[in-house]
Amino acid sequence: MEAVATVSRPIVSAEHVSKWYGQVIGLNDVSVSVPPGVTGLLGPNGAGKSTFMKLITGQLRPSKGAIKVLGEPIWRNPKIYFQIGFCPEQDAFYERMTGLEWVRALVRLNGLGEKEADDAARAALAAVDLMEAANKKIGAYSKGMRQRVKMAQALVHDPQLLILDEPLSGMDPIGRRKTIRLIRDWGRAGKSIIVSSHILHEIESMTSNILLINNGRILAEGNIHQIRELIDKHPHSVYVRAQDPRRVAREFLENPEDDVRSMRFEAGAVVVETGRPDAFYARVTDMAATGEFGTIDEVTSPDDNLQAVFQYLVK
Amino acid sequence: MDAVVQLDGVTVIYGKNQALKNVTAKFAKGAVGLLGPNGAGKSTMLKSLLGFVKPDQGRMTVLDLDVAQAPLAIRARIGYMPESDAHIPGMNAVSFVAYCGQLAGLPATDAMQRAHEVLYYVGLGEARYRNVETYSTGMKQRIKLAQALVHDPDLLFLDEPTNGMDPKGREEMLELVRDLGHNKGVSLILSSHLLPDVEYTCDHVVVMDKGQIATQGPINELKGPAGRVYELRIKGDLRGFLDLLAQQGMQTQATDEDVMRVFVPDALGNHQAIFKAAAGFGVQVRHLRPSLPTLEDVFAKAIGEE
Amino acid sequence: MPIHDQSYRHYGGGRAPAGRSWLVIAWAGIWTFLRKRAFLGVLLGTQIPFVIRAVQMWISANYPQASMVTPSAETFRAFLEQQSFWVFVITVYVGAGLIANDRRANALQIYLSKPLMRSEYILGKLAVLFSFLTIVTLVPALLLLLLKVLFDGNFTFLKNNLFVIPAITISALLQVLLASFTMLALSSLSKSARYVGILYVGITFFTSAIYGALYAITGSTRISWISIGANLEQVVDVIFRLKPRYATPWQVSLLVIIGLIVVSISVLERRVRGVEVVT
Repeated sequence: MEAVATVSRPIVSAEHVSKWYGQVIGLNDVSVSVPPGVTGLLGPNGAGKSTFMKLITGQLRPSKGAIKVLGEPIWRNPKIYFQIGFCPEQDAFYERMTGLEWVRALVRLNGLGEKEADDAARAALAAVDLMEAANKKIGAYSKGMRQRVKMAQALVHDPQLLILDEPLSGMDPIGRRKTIRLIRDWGRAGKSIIVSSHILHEIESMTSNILLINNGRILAEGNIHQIRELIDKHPHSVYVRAQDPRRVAREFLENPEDDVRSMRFEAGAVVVETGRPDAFYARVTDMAATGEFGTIDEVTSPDDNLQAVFQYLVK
Repeated sequence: MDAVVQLDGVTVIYGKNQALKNVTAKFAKGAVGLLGPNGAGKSTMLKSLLGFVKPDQGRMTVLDLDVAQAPLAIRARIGYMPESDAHIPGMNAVSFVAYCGQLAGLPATDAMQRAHEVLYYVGLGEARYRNVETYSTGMKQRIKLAQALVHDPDLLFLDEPTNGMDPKGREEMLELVRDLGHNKGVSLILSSHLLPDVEYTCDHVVVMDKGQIATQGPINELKGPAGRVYELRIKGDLRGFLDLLAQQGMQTQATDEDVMRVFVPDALGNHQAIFKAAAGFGVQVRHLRPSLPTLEDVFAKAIGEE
Repeated sequence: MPIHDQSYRHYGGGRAPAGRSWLVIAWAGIWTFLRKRAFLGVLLGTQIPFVIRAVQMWISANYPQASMVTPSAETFRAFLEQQSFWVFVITVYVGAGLIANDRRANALQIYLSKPLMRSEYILGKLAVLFSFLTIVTLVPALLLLLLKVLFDGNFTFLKNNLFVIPAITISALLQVLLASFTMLALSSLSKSARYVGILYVGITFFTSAIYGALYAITGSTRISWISIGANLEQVVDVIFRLKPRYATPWQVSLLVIIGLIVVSISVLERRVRGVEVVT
């Protein structure tokens, strides 16, 4: 469950923003407010995600409408750039520099003095676990290390807002886990992060708050489970593994308030589709507590997750 | 045969670096995941099995054939889906896949027929007359799979098959891989950093680290039995409920994540205690199940990380 | 959720034995060029000297008094030398991208994961260049010989110049093999066909220019071996039983040609791999 943010000013607000490239439309009349905290940005390829990211990092100017980041317009506003850290998807480095040199050079561009820059660079590299390889040339780094050095340059100036495009790409499972943990920690520490990824289960590990873009428009925004509940066309699916599934099933059918739409049996379990999840889950909890209909061992919802939300919403 | 691939004491040295150190491993029939940190030796192993790299020591057998002695016979029966973009320049999809079929020994007309079939199977049916250079990322991944399948291999090597694909593409690709491994009788070795993908498609894993095998075996066995920890998600007053659980002596963890973990001590019985607490307090249990170690836990333990 | 109706079937048909893949590669490569109209135009252009020479043969057969067009063994040598221009053009057009384009598309990973040997890949690519170059040199030269015999109506010319047949064959083969191997080796060094083309043109002209400069300075033709083209001319002179035109011993010229071919083969062996060679 997400803790409620106390600061309610949105970190990104877009009002009737459109962006087109000649005939091709990247974003089509998009209005959205992204709250502080960690937000997952998703959508199919070519849906407008990268356009959106380029707009909020000030790389592109909207054809129409206004984009504000951290309360101020972002286009040609260098003051704000310093408060944003961007980790792009592309790989482009000076291969001959060492990790430390590169991060230090980039943070000096932000106006830090030599000593400050060195300290900041070291801290950033330590945060991404790269201090061991800090003095090796980037050309010798593995894919995962290159990714981490990109992350380091995004957070070296301690920005208020981080924008990360496929930050885990190329990382091995341990690196992925550490980075996810890092992102969650930053969120807890009060930073705001917008993460774009195609790997839905990883977004789910980072946050419950998403922004789904498709066909140049916003398809859904907010908490995954709340969004799920609003998808009427697909009633809630609940998997109940029990000692005696049929006895349990009979009890479900007995009660019209549960609004059982359909039922299906699997090995040792019954899968129920219900139109009234609140009433249904409350009943299952009671039944499991009393044990009146046999023990209930497992209650899960196979489609109350980001994968299902994505599937149902994106045609 | 019970093992499709077997390595015995294989050592591969690149310059000063020992990429593979005296590796002995068995890949079972069916779907096997090949995991490991970057630089562990996974790609070196794949390249040695394909014959791109000759080992300095040791013996490797693929499909009961010795790699050192019958590399061509082996390559006629295996398919390789490389991680990076790869195609034959200047061809459209059908020509490309048919060409690959011919290179594998299929007669020209059979190769063309197989090319069409396989392109439909991977979902490129409509785009098969287009030049491969105009393909999107997802399509490029699919055609790499198609060219690996055209000659009906007994064993597939897949290196990060969902690279760069969007969620729908990933799902479809994983379905294809699972279908091939479980329903179509094609053995496969899947190398990937995305552990849930490996769990979905494979039954066995081989984990490598620093040029050696860290652990190998069936995923279920490696995960081990469930303990007294349960995954839980509720709808209702979370703070209050957590206090209640604490009062009753049940420890909780990761309470700010989507799904938290609850430990039920022996004295309280089993998971029914959680249901009782929830029912009594008036919150809905939306998710409860025994917490199994994940493949990620297996991986972390194997390479010595906590 | 299986999404696709057409399911995957196993293949029950026959498979060719190993060793035929080079033909597949060669044929695909040849067909890539024959499809292009611009290339067919160039190919037609390469036959213009042949047509002119054919006319020459016809005139000399029907008007023996036109003594300046009377062909001899030397005529065929001259024809082959004329064609070296077209050999150059075709070599760059066809050969520059033969391996370079594959390297750019990362195709070697695909080729070498199929049941074929590296040597088959190289052989197949060579065959592409070899076939076109043969059409420019060996085939028209032998055809001219045939036409001479046909127009004359007798074998007199042939009986008097029997060595012409092996001379044409060996000279043309040398010309073709030298161009093919060196271009293929250069093509394997880069991912850009354009760059390879420029490199080949550059090296050819550069070596000629250096020789020209040295000749102007020293007045001697002993260092003709620096110019690649000069070596070929020298050896072909000898094959046609003519006085070699440069002061360099012809054995040296032959050695340079063979040396270039050997170096090219070793470059190809190193570059055509499934992995980048880690040094």
